[in-house]
Amino acid sequence: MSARIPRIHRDAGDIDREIREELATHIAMWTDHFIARGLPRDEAERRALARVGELQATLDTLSASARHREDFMNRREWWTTLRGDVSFAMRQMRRQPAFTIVALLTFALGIGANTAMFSVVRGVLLRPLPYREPQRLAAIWPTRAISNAELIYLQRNARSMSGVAAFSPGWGIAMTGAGDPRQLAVARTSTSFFQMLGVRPALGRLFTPNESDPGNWDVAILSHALWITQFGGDPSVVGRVVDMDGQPTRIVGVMPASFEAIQSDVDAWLPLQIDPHSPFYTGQTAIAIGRLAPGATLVTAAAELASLVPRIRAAFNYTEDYGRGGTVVGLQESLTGGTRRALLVLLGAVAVLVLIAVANVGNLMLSHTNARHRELAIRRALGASRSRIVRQLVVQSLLIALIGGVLGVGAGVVGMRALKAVLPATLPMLSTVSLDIGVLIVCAAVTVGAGLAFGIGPAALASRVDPEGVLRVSSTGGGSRASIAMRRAFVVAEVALAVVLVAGAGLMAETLWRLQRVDIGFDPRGVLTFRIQPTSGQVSTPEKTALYFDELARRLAAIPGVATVGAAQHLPLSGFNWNASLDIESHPIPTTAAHPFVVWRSVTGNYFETMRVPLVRGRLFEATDTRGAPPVIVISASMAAHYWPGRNAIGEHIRVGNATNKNWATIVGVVGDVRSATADAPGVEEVYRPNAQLNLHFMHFVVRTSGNPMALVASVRAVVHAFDATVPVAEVQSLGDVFATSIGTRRTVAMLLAAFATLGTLLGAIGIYGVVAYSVSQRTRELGIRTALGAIERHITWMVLREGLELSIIGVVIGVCGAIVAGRALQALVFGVQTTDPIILSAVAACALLVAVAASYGPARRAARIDPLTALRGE
Amino acid sequence: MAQELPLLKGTVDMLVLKALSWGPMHGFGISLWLDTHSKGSLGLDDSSMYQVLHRLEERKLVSAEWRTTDNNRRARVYTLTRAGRAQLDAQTDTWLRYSRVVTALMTARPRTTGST
Repeated sequence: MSARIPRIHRDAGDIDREIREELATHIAMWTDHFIARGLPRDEAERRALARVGELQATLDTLSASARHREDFMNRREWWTTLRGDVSFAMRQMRRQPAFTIVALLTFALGIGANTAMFSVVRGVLLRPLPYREPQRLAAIWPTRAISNAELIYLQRNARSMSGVAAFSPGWGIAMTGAGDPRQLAVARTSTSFFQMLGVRPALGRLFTPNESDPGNWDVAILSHALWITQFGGDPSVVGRVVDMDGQPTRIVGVMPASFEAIQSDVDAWLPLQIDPHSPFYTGQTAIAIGRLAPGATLVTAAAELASLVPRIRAAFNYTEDYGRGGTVVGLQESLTGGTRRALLVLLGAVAVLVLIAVANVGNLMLSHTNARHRELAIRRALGASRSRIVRQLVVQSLLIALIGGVLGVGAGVVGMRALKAVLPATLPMLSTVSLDIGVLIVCAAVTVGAGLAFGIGPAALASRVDPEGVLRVSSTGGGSRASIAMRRAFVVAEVALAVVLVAGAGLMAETLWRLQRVDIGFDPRGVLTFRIQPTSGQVSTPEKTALYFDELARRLAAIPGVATVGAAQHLPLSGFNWNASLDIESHPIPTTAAHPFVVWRSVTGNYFETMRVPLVRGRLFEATDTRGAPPVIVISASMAAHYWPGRNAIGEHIRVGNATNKNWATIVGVVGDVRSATADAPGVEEVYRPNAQLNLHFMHFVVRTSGNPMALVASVRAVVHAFDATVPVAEVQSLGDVFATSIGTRRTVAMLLAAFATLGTLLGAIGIYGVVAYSVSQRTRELGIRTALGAIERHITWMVLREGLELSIIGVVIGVCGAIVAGRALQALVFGVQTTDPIILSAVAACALLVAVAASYGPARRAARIDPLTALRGE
Repeated sequence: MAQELPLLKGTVDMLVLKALSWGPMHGFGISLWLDTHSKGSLGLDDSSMYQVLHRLEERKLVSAEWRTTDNNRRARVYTLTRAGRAQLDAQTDTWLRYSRVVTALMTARPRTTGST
């Protein structure tokens, strides 16, 4: 049987009939045979019948096996037909390259965005952390840090945890003795940290249990990246001794390249320094994680910890509010908490974009099938069944979906790389994001689903052609009422979805605008920052430390173009605060009351002038505020207003951080509030102390210039090097970048939403254009007649424009409602604006209508210029 | 009528193909040919024969079409295809060699070995 000539299908009835007839002939022939041999008729018939055995059974057997064969043939034919459909669809697509390219690109765009975004979401939010039994790992008190004392206590007493480990992020440590001096991003971990995660080193060993003890803690595990860059991947690095902050430290191991835990950019891990006799023993600097014991759950663990709180408080003399709000949450949830919402919003936006793409391709399919109206009608007339035609058209849309999907996944890989570069590098496991099988499965599902979604509707409509009708009336075909309705529905949906995207982008743009204009209390423009942490003997005494920083500040200030120089141990907007407990001499706090905390900064040089933090009253620090002089302190305006409302705070005595400072300090000045940890939270109560009286060994310098701060980098490095060749200049960035990083997640969301919204709008515009242009081409005759009858150009233009506008207005109304609902997802991300902001929503609506007019304008002008004679003759 | 012989598996296919090697035939013709030439000694009922015919048709070893016979009956006439002829040749060859060997083995005299 040839693939070209359709086989005549036989149903069960046909098969039975044929077999019956064949057997009847058979029996009749045998009967004739026996009669010819001289038997009487009835005997001949009896013998003939006997030959086929039990007649009904024979019939059944034969027809059963025949049906089985028929099924087999049908299946094979199904594949043959499919092959035919595919090659037919390919021919169709080649014949209409414009349609094919636009459809493929549109769809590839949607799938590409989906691929990129989903792989990030999967890598960061969905894929289990790469540790042993990651679902049993938990963050303990995820919102606050714990001390070494608490760590030891929990390790000994928490029964719901089979292990408790601590991770103290963000240590800047200068490494010397291995190439150039280099500032390392170091994390300190409890010795059990790696074993609890269930990871292995690539080289050497992990920490041993006694390596947090005094005298044993000078060991380090390197990251794979540091091992490669600083040690050239030399395997003999294990056992080598390098200087870390001037302390000879033995390298004991190297972690694999894929290893990442809690902090993404760690160069090396050092053990926590646990010394029960140190004043820092009860200082809270580490993140606690635990592994749930068999049978324990997050809930039972949280309950047990709550029961331990009073005992810990008593044991280490913590304040009344200790342990408040402490919980236990899954480690992954805790790590992704902040960005989870942002990623899900972006994934939602991508889903909307995919829907727009689907609607758009659906629309294209409708135009395409309408153009083939006559051809389809002829095929119907020649006997092709409706389902046959639907199938062929659906095959074609699936083919577009598949090719577009493959292109899209390719584009998605590029997009994913771009996303990884754009997203905040602090996202956990961002480096592991890749196109894995899970992503591919989802993309394949979306592709096929979308192909069916935009294929079935148009196909079903197209197959409804009335063969005779179309062939009789030689019209341009197409444009059945239902197909026009479907196009309009597609366009309304596209506009509505695009409005949702644009509204989201608008809200985030407004958020960024507000954040950038919020009064953060200091001026980040024109300031260069970097971290200096001397390791040499130059800071061996407090006097030397003060001299060191003073002299360095003086030299930096002498650089041409530098206006002022200052420094603080911790700059604002870095995401977290340094807190300490506050005591006020004139307001003794009862021991049972909650102890207040304030943010503190240790500053030197012209910190306030450089940051442009204004002095409200009193004075700033002076050169005479040295170690030997009476302790002085400067407080923020909101702190003055809180504790001394309507009174003068100058001259009051307070004490900050009771563990290390026994002396009362005198308030000498009040300065403006600054937004301390993040730009979106109002200024907090804050104190400043002169570093000469505090003697911290590391400082973040701020250097103000009239020009571009980054232009100073080379001369700053030269000056620092000339001053102290052993100190690295670390964390070099402009204060503007510090600010930008602090709003990084929102900026990323805003940027990506803007990109998606632009694409969505573009697709929507194409959709409107398509519908209006098509309707003009369908009405050429009518419009020609109108012109011939004297309709004014302007009226015809307006008539066509109105069509696009009407659809857009419906879309905009639905879209605005959708935006209000979808806005709830943005609630946690917007700043200074309501998600239902009427101004933004109206602006978005106006924009959408403008785009609609712009998209309809071309076809409208064309309609107005129709030459009546040509239009009427054109039939 | 001679005693019926049990049919070996696969031999019916071969016999039907052989019958058709004389020319196109309907089911009756094949049945008659088998009956006549085996002198009725094959225990083959016509129902099994039709199953075999239909299976051979499916495998494209025979083709079938409806024809009208001399005395105006509609009968399904089977023709050996090129593939069917090749199959018949191969099977004949195998069968002959096989039966020669088996026959030789089955008719061999037991050899006398050294006495105990």
